[in-house]
Amino acid sequence: MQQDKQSIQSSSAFGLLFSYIGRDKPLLVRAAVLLMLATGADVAGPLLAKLFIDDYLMQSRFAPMPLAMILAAYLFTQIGSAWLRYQQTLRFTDIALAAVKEIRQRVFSHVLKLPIAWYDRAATGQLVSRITNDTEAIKDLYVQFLSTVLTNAVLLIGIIIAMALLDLRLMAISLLLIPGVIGLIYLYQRLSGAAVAASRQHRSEINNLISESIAGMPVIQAGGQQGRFSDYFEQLNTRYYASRMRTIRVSALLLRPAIDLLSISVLIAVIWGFGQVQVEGAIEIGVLYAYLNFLGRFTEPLAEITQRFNLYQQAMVAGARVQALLQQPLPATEGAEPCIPRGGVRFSNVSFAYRADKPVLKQLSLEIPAGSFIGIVGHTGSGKSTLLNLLLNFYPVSAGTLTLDDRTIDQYSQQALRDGIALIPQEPFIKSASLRENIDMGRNLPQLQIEKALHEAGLGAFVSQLPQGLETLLGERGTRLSTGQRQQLVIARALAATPRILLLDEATANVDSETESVVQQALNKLHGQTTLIVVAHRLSTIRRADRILVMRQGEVVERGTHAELMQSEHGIYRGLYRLQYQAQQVEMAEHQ
Amino acid sequence: MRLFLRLGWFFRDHKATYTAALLMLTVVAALNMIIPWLVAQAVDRLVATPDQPERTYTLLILLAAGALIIYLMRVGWRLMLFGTSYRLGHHLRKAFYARLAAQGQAFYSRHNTGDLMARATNDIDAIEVAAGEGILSGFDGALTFVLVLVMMFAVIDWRLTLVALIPFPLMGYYFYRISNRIHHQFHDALEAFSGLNDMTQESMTGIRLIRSMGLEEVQSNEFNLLSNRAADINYQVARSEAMYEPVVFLSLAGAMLLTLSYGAWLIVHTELSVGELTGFTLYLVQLIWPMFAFGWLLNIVERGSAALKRVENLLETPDSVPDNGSLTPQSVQISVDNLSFHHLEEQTETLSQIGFDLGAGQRLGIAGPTGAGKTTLIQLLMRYWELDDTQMILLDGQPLRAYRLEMLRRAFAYVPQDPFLFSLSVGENIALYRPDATMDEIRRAASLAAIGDEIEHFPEGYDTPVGERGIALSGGQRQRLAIARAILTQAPVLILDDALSAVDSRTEQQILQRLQQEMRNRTTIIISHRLSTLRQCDNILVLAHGELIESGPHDALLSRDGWYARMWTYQQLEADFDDAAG
Repeated sequence: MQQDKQSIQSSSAFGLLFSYIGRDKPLLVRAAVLLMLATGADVAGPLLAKLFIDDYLMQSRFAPMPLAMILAAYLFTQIGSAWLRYQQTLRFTDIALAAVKEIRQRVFSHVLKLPIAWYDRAATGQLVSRITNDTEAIKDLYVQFLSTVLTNAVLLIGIIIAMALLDLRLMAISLLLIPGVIGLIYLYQRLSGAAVAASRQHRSEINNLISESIAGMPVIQAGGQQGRFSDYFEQLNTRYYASRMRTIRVSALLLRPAIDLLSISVLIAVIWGFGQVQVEGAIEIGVLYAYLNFLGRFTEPLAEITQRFNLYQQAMVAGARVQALLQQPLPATEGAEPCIPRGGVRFSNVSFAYRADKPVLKQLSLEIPAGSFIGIVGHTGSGKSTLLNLLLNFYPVSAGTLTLDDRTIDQYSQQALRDGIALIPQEPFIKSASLRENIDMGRNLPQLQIEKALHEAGLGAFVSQLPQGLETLLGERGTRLSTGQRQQLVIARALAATPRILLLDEATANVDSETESVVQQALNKLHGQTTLIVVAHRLSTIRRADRILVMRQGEVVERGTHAELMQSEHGIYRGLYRLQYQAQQVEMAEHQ
Repeated sequence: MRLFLRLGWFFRDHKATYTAALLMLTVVAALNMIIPWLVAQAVDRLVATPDQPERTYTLLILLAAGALIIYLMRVGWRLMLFGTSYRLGHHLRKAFYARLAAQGQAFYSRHNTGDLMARATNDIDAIEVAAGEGILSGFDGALTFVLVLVMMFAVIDWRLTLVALIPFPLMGYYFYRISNRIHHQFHDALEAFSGLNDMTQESMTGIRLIRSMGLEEVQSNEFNLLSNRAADINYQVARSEAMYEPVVFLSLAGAMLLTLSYGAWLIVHTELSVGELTGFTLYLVQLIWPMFAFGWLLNIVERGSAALKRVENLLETPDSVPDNGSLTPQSVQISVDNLSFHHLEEQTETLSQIGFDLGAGQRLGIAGPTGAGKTTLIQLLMRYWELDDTQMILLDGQPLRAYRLEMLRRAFAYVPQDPFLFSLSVGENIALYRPDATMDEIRRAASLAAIGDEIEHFPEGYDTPVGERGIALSGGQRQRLAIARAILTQAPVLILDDALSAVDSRTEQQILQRLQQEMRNRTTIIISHRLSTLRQCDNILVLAHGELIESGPHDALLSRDGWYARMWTYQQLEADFDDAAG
């Protein structure tokens, strides 16, 4: 079963990789034709030299016309071959890079559309590596395969054909090189496999120890353990050295020097063979010249091709991983409703769980009229952030219904939800781009709307006094905004699309009281026009809310206005309020 | 070439191996010259007496013998040259690690981990390459170049040589230009890739923001731009690399053409034989490698010397905390007087005018908001930083500098808030400072730290590896493991730097009680955000923004309406609230 699954995966990876090569048929055909022509012109060179030596030089015939023809043909084929080969390499590289680029872009946009629940399980680091490193491995395969392996294979065939045209017996001798080189490489991989793996392993152990030691140096030094760790490092270092020496021994014995030895042996055999057949008087010296020429170019492609097999395997594994990612199912189709008309929200008996055995929201019912201001407080894990996640349609409800203006949330199109509901997160995210781009965020909003949003967020005056106005650059290399201004910018960004519902997720948790009052002012301005659902850690932010909900373990346990909630002596809200008051007292003492 | 001068000590140390390797290279180069000559002789004999192929047999046997010797020599120099360069890498790594082990916190705050890692890995690799392949391409390239020229000029025909060589300088020039361009483009390609990586990382972590604003299209477009750019740059690299072949090909074709035409003319005038012409073309092919080697050498040496500069720079950095003292702490009597300290690059003082005394067996508590300078104070006591005035901290009446660094630090068992565990087994991590500890001692320390039972339930008990390849420990488990480590050291001063923050308060009390019984005579310093932890201390310091704002025992601090008293009330309220709202 496992075996089956793997082989299917590997063949689908193969399918993925090679389906892209044929994408641009005309380009592929052009590249192939160029390759054939280049190889033809390439092998023609020594053939022409043979013609010259045997038919003219050895016969001492020096008629100017034929000689000039040979000269012209030689020049033509050699320059032509260089040009064709260059062009052909570029075409194949182009095909390979375009294929990888497409795979890469497809994976990225596919992953961006996967359900949030899928992201909860995925490890970010691995995900990033799938999209970048694995596609990079595929790129190496494509480029190498198309520009090195394919080209060299065709050149080999071309040379063999030319050799056959010249003399079949000598060709047979030369062909001995092929099994010889393949045998050597095979032997090399068998013998060096273990040593190469060991040296990689030691290398990564060394790197681990260095990075661990850098991070933990105070700990090592606290107990005077430097000596022991240095000894341990030296052990690893020595083992690494030894394993590398093993690999160099095998590669010195079996790779380059051995392949060259093989090549010279064949050369000797060819000269010997030439001597044998020449006795029969059938062969000319120019043939030998051409052969010696061809042999020089024969070994290199062969060695190149065989050495790439590792790369091929790695790319297949990477391809299978990328393919698996592409096969992750996308969420079901979206609704058709194009916009949220008013912004009323109703939860009826909504239950939700991230994991089946741990309910986060239990039978929650809640009516939020359009334009009202709702504050939500509660401990971590009380379900308040989950409430926002459901409103953002990050997850479907497990039971019950969530309706926006009398339609269930899944009846709306993605676009309607994005435009109708805006979120202000805890950490303001500022791009290193212009102020305008930071508000627009690629949505192509009209200028008027951006200005209006800035004004509503209380940034209007600040922007108008900037010399470059909306085009002022922000972020690392640009103007630095104060914490309050950053928060205002994020508010403006959220308001720019004129949402019907605005969600705040602890947007005032880590800010000073000045920034908080900025947020408060903005909220007051919006009160009545936009539905405000504010999850707050700081109670002062939601003091003016029409209704405050206190959540605990997935249920609303207290509800009412600030004044109403403060009246219940042992209420949770009142307890929270007293705690915050005390926290302020502590903070004041700190600055005395 | 300054690179080779600066690595001179290494070459001198391995004089014999380098000499042998270079000798072998010379033999190989010389034999390589003879091979075409033998081939030329063989061809000439075949032409002269086509019916007597046996006249070539001696030559063919010589050829085979030559090839075999070349093979052996090539294996030999590879082992020696590359083997020795690996030795250089081995040596540099060792020296590098030794330097790391000797540096204090001032050094580590200046260098980030990524940079140090890059020097320890990529840079040392680059130096290795320069000492191995650099020497090879330099020496062998030059040798082959000279020998081939000598053979062509002296043995075959000097006029033919001059004519045939016309395209070669051009080839060398283009090689240099191409390898230069690739070097730069490669750098760009790496940068484009890392841009792609950053962008992907940003999108994957910010997926919720992207979703909530409907930015999938926008992000995909931005990603497409970056991947287009990466593809473009890779295309440029491929283009430059593809340039090598036409350059070699055209130069060689040009040289061949010149050789054949002029050679033919010489043959007609019986000043050259066909065999000599054949041999000559074989020599010509051998000139490609030296041309290529020079371009390559320049790149390798350039990279290697930049790397060597960075590595040497680090190897020559003096200890940030010099270790010239000779004393060993005898008893614990710490007095801190008017202590001020600021980190190198910072303007404001991290600590200012702190003073207190701590006697043997006493317990000192330190409280205060985050960033008050509490951990810096501890690091100063352990001399991870140097003070401007050594009199500000005295141990037994002597400045810290008077003690041997190792002995001074061994007087403290320090448990940080986020304890560092090595990728060793659980047992080895506990016995980190006392590798000689018996299993019983380790078990006892673990059970005092209230982690013993949990360890017994790990898959391999005390032999379970920690970290990626072993067990993932929770924050509380890590902290208790670090406490066990500290208990085992039996150092006279135990420092808990918010070391139980991830442990629930009941377990915390349990551990503190056991510690109190176990370490009745030990001096203890406890930093904690949980004020109940400090209740039993003889003296409590409250630090805020580097200043000592309150001090005294628990009860005295509570009687004033200061930070401590207010924080105490807050934490009481919080506990009540959690009980009620839980």
